[in-house]
Amino acid sequence: MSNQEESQNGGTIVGSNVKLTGVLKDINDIIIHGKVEGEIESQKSVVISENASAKGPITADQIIISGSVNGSVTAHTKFELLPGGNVSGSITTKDLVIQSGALFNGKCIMIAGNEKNIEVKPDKEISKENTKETNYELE
Amino acid sequence: MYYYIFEPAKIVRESKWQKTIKEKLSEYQISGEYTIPSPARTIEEIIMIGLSKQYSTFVICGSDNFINKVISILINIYYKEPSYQIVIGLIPSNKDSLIAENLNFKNLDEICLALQQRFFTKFSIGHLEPNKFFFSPLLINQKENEKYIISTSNYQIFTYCYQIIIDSEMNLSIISKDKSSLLNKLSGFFVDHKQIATSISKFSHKKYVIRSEDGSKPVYRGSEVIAKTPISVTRIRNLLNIIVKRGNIKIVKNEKGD
Repeated sequence: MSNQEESQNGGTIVGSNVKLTGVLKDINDIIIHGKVEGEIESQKSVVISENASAKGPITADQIIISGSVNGSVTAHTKFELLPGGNVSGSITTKDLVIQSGALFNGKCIMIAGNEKNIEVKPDKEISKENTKETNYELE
Repeated sequence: MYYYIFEPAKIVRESKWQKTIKEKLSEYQISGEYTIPSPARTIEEIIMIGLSKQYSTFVICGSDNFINKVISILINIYYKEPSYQIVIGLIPSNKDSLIAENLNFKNLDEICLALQQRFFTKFSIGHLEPNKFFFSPLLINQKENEKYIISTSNYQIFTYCYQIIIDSEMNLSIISKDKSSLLNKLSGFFVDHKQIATSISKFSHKKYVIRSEDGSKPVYRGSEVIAKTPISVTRIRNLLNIIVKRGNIKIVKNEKGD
């Protein structure tokens, strides 16, 4: 039986006093208040709350981040980076929201409705200051 | 006919309660053979007698500890060679029974009505290796946060917590005491419950190995200590046919009492 099949509850919550290493998969929502090192995958939503951190790829239908994430993020439907949130890595999503006060370092790939990938890169003039990677900081 | 296994009464009040139950069962026309374990006749022997008489409905009446104990023995005797024909009815006797709460039984009439209708559904059972089983949740409880390492086939959890609860469906809850200052706690209590909420973790997996870093910790099933850490727990899916209230959970089969 796969790990995804097992979860028949209301989802997974990683509390603030928990550090988890490994692969965390759930068909339901995953909420992280603590630390996770490894892959996170949900068929619904993943929420990285304030003071939480995740190191590794995250895949879900919807992803909301107000904590810190180091790794690639794939949100099939919507990605939201809230104030205080910090993402270092690539974002792949259909619908992107980055609120003022959030920090995003990396590249973003927008998936169009016809599933054709559109890579969003900064203008050359802007990226002169950031030679290797893109730095977006919204205030 | 139902085969009833009653917990031996320790005090007069329990005897009276059992008498009330028997009267109620007669009222609902579901009386059967009543048995009580004793030093002369153990639970194992009583179960063997019931099986040899080919009873198909065993009703266990007593505290959560007693119910868990009988279920554990029943599984060891009967369900190891699965025939899946036995149906189990439960009459929890203690007021704060988690089993009654899980089955949504509010009073004796509801229990008797459920027994009379004999609607049952399959329940998973927790298996505490090597040979113990649990229907009501397992609990590891300490006064203060202690360090635990919980392993599954997919991930490892490192946590400081004071309470770990595992139910028979292998839903794991980890509860930590918030280390923030008293002022923060108070303000958190009056303003919102965010602090409290973040100190609770919930997981679901098929098997857990739980170790404590600071020596062995007792593992409770109800009020009874049944093991000490480290423990390995797993789920046996849909093992027991347990009588439930009509319309409660999903109904697998509907049979009239024999």
